[in-house]
Amino acid sequence: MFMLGSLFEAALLLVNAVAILQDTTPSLHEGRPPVKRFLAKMGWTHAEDETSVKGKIITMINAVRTLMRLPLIFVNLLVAVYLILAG
Amino acid sequence: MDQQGFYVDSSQQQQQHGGFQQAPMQQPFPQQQQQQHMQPPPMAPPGSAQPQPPPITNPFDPSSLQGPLMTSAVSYAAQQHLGNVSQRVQGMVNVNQLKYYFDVDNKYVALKLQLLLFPYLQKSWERGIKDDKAMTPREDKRSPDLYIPSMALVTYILLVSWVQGATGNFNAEQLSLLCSSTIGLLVFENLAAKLASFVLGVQAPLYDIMAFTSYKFVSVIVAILATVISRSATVYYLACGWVAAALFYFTFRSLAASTASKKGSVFAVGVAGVQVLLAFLLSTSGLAIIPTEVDATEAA
Repeated sequence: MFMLGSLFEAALLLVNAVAILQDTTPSLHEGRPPVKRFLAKMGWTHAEDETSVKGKIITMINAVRTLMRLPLIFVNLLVAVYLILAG
Repeated sequence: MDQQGFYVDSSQQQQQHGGFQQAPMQQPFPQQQQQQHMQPPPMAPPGSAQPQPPPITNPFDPSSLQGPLMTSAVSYAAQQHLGNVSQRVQGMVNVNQLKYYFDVDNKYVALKLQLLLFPYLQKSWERGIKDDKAMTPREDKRSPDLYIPSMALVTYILLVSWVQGATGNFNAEQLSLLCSSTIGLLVFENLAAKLASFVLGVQAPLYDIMAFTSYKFVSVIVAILATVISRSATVYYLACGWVAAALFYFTFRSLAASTASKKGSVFAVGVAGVQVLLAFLLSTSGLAIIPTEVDATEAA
């Protein structure tokens, strides 16, 4: 029913979805302020109140983005190679 | 995981004893060889007297792979390894806290099962406090335990395997798939519940969450048993409905009582809802035993 492999894939995709959220990106023109992306447009860049639900969610998103981006590269690579080979 | 390490420590020793008792029905000669190779590790409590390592005369002699020299060498190495493992495991797992969840007796098990299947008459869901600590399951039937969940998990796996066997499509690979998918589901649920408790700011210890995510197996077992005994889809739906409502009420009241706040209620509703949904999904394994119209017309 809930096969272990598909559970793992689902979790991996969810973590990927959190990891690719973006605050702002630097503007391509010199000297202009950074361009707001999704999180900044929603106002979810900085957690004002750490104890509220929104603050905790913002903290977790920032934590996943800073900590998991590098390991996710390798895990995604492994899973992609495995799926290619396993068909 | 931590908990698996604790189980491995005691159950490995039990398995080795049990295996020897079942062996004698088969041919005696392979059994002797088995005993020779699998003789090691007797219970080696950490800090016991270390056995002397056996003298190696000629390690390159291929006939030394069998025989008492290799056996004693393997047993020495395995004793060392198990001693290390049990020391490390006792560091990782808080055994005293785990013992609290297994402090049950028959009366508690009966009361708890009644609470799981008919919780509507219970007035107070606050857990009792004795000596500044929550009461053990032996003293208070409202406390969560880990005995019933672990028994229910194993019983669920056995029951579903039985249903698969009764409908004619059981094999060993299916059993391992069932085990791994069930345990994977439990790991996923516990992680999600722990994450939810962190985000909501609700205090929920991991052992409690493990208990409440596995109580649903009792409900699933009851639903599957009702289906198997009656072999009718109506009874299946009735049993599912009853058992799902009882499980939701039980989980919600228990969790909301131990996390007394508005966010605690949200957490309790979330966990209880997920449990009920998954209980529905898990109980569909029993549907295979209901004879369909095709079977009836084929028999006619």
